[in-house]
Amino acid sequence: MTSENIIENSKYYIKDEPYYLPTANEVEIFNTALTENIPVLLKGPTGCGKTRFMEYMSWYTKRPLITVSCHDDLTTADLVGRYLIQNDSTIWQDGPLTTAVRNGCICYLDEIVEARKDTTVVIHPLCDDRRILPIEKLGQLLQAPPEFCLTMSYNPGYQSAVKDLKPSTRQRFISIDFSYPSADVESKIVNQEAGLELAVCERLVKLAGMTRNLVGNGLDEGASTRLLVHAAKLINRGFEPKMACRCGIADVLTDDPETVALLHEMIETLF
Amino acid sequence: MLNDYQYRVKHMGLLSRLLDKLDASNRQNLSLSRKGGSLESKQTGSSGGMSTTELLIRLELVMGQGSGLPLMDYANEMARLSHPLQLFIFSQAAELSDLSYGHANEFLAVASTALVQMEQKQYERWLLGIKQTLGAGDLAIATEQIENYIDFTTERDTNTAYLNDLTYTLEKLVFSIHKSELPFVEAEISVDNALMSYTDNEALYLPASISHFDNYADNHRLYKVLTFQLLGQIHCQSAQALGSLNEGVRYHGDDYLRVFSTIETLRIDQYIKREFPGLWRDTVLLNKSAETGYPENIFDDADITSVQATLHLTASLLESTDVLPHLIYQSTFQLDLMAHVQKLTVERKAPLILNPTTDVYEEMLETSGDPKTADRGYLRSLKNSKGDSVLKSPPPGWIPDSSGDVEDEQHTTKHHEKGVFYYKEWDTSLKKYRKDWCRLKETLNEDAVETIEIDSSEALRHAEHRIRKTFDQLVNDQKFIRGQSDGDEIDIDAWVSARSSKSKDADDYQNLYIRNNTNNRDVAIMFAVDLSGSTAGWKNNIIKQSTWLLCKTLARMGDQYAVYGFSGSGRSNCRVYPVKTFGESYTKSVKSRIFSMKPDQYTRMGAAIRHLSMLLGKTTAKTRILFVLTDGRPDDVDSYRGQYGVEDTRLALNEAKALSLKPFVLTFDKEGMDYLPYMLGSNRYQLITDISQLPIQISTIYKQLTT
Repeated sequence: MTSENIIENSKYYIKDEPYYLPTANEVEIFNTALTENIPVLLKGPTGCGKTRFMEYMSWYTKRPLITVSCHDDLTTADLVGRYLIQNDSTIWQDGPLTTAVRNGCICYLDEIVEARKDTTVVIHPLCDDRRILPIEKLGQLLQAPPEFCLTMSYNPGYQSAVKDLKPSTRQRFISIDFSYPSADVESKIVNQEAGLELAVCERLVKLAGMTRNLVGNGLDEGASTRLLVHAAKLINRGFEPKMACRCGIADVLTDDPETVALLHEMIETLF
Repeated sequence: MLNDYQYRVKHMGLLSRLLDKLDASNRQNLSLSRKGGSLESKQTGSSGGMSTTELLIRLELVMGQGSGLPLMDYANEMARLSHPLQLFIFSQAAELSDLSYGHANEFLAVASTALVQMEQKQYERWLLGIKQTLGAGDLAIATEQIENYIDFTTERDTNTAYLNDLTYTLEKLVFSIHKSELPFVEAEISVDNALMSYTDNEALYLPASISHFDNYADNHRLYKVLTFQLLGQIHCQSAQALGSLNEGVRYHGDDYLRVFSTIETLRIDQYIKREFPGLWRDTVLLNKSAETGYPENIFDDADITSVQATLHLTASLLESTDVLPHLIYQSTFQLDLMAHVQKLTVERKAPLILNPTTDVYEEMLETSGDPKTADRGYLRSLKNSKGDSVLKSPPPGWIPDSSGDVEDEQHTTKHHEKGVFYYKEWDTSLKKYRKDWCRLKETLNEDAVETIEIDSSEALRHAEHRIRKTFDQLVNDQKFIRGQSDGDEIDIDAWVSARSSKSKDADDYQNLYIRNNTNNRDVAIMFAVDLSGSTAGWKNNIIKQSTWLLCKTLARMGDQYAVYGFSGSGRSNCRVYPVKTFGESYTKSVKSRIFSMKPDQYTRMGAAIRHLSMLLGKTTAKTRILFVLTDGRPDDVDSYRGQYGVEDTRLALNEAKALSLKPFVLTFDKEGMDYLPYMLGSNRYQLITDISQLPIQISTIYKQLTT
């Protein structure tokens, strides 16, 4: 390992405690996975707190966090690294995964199913007991230190064969399920995040519950906790609750006029 | 397609020319052109209707030859109507005959007179009412509704709120809270014409219309409040009081029920106030509009926390009923109905008790082998068992299903025939899905064509050349892209070029990488080919040649593709013909199947689209395209035509979109622009005017869709 490969760790540390309210024993499970060097898979719908949980665990375990938002065009080189040209010569640039391995960080691959399947295969040797990262272009086999941890998240709600993980990838992880928190916990989260009075937060959570019941009946996904926080922030800034819910929740969830009208009707019954 | 009808009738002799002439020019989708107002006044004059001879033939097709019915009389009545209205009557008669042959006859007897006198909304409500009543098995009431059409011709009051108009929103609203479907049913009309609303815990019964207030907003509001009262009764378990209520009514008469209803309404109000503050605001507004003094402090909230408390208070207030108000939204409790449903619920939970409803239907189906006959037999059996509980139950397939079943669940039914699938269908008049309505069979065409005659004309060779060229461009697009600003590899050539450039332009050093796009192309396409009778002749040849050329050349692309033909006759006989499945390579037998594709019968497009969407949905490609090649609008031998067919196909295509598929329709139908934009939205269809250009057009569209 050369000196230029060592990152300025401080910029990857989470210094202030992020707000996170555990809903079950996810913190203990994650800690155990870190200790046992087992990679972790976070499953859950959009906006339910997966990324916030990772920030919280990074702060809690005092380990740097490197996040990669996966997308269709993410290649292996984007993760591992590539040669660049600089001043008539080539230099090697580590990718985020290599950086995380070299420096013993937590590497968080957000929405992993968005990445192409051939890309995700590169993590296989890292995720079993070998814990190595082959860097083909350098001819290196990088051994991950005990501090390194690989975490991935995805949303199983897409219900699409395209957006699914290969079984060979799946079976290298332990999984933590992040469904929406219970109504009480969710109300407290919205209350804490937006600073809105609890009674109104409870109504927002009730509205979210109603939208979640409509999944498959006009909606692909119900309102996430994140959307509730947005609406709560609008209300906190003086917007009328019905207007805040329309802008922050109903109109965001769908473009279908009939479903939008239905969501507006829901808001009318609650506010 | 209707043209298939012509195709068949051509063999009937002299009448063919008459049908050709009328259908080709005049057949239009009545409903798409309906704008409200008296239909007849807008549509007669410019287009004359069918003659009595043709009407008689069509009536015989719908009602059967030698039926002994006065079909000639009906034809004479209908002859004075415009062509679209005549077609509308035929489609409605066909739909009704699916439910009850006798009622279709009764409808035909009055249809010509009735429809002329009605506004669009009026006859929609009239027909919907008849169908719903037939669906519920109340045959005698349906007869009354048909005969009393005059009741529907009175002017619709714009201040009145109608249950039909609000059912969709209210049902979904209730679903979002209750988490399961509670159907909305029209409540019986009371003797004194008072508002009746009640529940049996399995459905909500509400008035067909509310005109209590002189403004629509309050009438609409009353519907919402009534709905939530009934929902509140279910959530607050009012039905637990059934035994005590029966006792109370026995000893104290109907007064007991009235007092109970008021106090229970106040209890539910507490629930609404707590859970749905917005709706509570509506309730307060309603009381204000009704000028009902709401008894704010008559009870402590703590007094009525359960239905037992309500019963207790009812007993204590029986002697002083004057302190209780009558709230406009309080429910009527139908004890018989509640008891009946409770009994059915217990029976359903008991093992080894067969469902009599399903039994009767299955028996009919087994005997007749025809679902249509089974439906009629089933309805007859309901009539015979008048007064029996089964009368309330609709026949299988008539169970309204608006829950948007997951596609994969659709073919997991009680039927287990190999290669047979059951799909729901959207009934636009009922605004409901008919569950497991279409029986679709996958039939592999094993008729190998020994000698395949391929047109060796210059035009075809030119087409093949064009297709290859188009596809080669696509293939070449996928290789390494040099001179990129970002990429996986260094482009040494670009670097050398930049170094040796005399200009020393800084821009030369910007694009020194190679990007590998080899795997970016991830496409699966399903070609659904319409094989209805109307594609007979040269159209079929062109379709076969185009499919062959496409299959031959697509192999080089590496894209996943499948080809299926579809046709059928009636809802119980929808067929798809696999020509090439996704797992197959292009082989001799595929080629043989392509050239054995032949025109079949009609086009029930919805079922075929649902099936092929399900197959395409199973592929793992990033881009998945459902490519439908057709020559006309959806049409089938029964009532699957006009607006019904278009609406069902539209819903089927929307379901495909929900599965992340991209539907695209290529049509030869010159009238396609009348309905395709509505069915698919913009940029999802194309009209080919010159069918000989089909091969080239397909490849061009293919390129547009997949890049």
